[in-house]
Amino acid sequence: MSTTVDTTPIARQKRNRFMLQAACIAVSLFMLVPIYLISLAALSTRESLNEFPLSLLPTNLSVETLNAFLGSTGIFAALGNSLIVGAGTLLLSALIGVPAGYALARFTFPGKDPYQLFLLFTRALPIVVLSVPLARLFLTMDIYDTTYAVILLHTALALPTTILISASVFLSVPVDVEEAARLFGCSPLGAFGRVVLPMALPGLAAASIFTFVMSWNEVLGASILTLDHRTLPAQVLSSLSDSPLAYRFAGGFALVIPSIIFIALMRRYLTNMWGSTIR
Amino acid sequence: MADIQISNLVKTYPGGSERATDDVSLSIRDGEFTVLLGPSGCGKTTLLRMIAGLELPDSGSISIGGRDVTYLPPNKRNLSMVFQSYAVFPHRKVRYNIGFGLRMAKVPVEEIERKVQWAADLLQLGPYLDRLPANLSGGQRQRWPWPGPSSWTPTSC
Repeated sequence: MSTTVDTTPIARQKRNRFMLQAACIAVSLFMLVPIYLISLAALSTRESLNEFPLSLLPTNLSVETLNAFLGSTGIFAALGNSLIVGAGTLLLSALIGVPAGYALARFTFPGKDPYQLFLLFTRALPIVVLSVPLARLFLTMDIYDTTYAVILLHTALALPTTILISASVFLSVPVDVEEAARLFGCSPLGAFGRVVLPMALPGLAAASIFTFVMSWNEVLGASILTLDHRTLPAQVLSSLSDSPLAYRFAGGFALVIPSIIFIALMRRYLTNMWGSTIR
Repeated sequence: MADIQISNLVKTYPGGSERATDDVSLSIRDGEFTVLLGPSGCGKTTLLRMIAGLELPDSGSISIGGRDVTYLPPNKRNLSMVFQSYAVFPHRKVRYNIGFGLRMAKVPVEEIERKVQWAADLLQLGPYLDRLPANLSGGQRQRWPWPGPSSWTPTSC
């Protein structure tokens, strides 16, 4: 005698798994197709861009457009400026934001809650509103049109997220391990450096991605605060309207690649480093 | 010698209205085994944490081996403590975790290696020294809190 087996649950499970895969593929395509198209356009010859219908497969590969873009005046300098500003912003916001986040996570002090709310107010102001007075201030301080000026602006913009993210990261590091380290002979700073910081690293890496990409993409403030020392987006933007189509694609390509490389590098730290965590 | 003298220890947590420990005096002789027993919230943990230096008392004094440690930071007390949670460092291998206290005490490397091996053999954790804490089984983790404290030589535990 054989019993009839009800296979509907397993069929449903299969269907759900399939739908999940389909959703993942759809989201990935949504992200990847523009990157693919811009890379294709940047790596095609100038003539093939004007062909109709446009080939969607890499048939006419050449680095001619990209070379022309990179060879045009100011691009290499702007790329350098962008990297300096990105790294400077990362460093400065970590230097200020990580200790501030630690303080928020570990200590109670008067005005803690208003402080957290107040942090977000910098983001409530439009960048234009911030930049114009800052430009005036930087002119009188004689740091207008320098990468420092842009680093300072970007740090101010990045700090709220850096502080709040690192605060929540430090909250997830148990106080016990810190106290154990203190008992075994670490100074407060030693316990932070040897135990808390390594455990917080994945979260801090996430915060750093935010910061770098924000700085890399920010164009309005950078355009207002600089003339000759433009960052890459500001440089591309200023010459966008009177440049050929190929130049725009090459510019877009050059803007996308470094942040993708940075994210790929930091991604390693995002996924949990120690297998599963112990609770 | 590591006798502990506690006298008139008073602690009120910030924002709390009642005293966490109310005028506690206690003396423990060297080598004595002492158990603190009481209902939840009666101040057992607070007392231990003050002895360890993780909380500071409002008044009263603690001395260990004749030395006043009342307001000394925890890393200057030469003590050890097993935490209610295991309090291991998940980002470091078992070997590093066991030897951590010795390393902090600037014990020579060969000496640390020898003591870590001794403690690991005692607890049958020998084959797992190069694993991360996350890769130990439940039972192995239960034995875990011991190596840290026992592998080094505290004046009191």
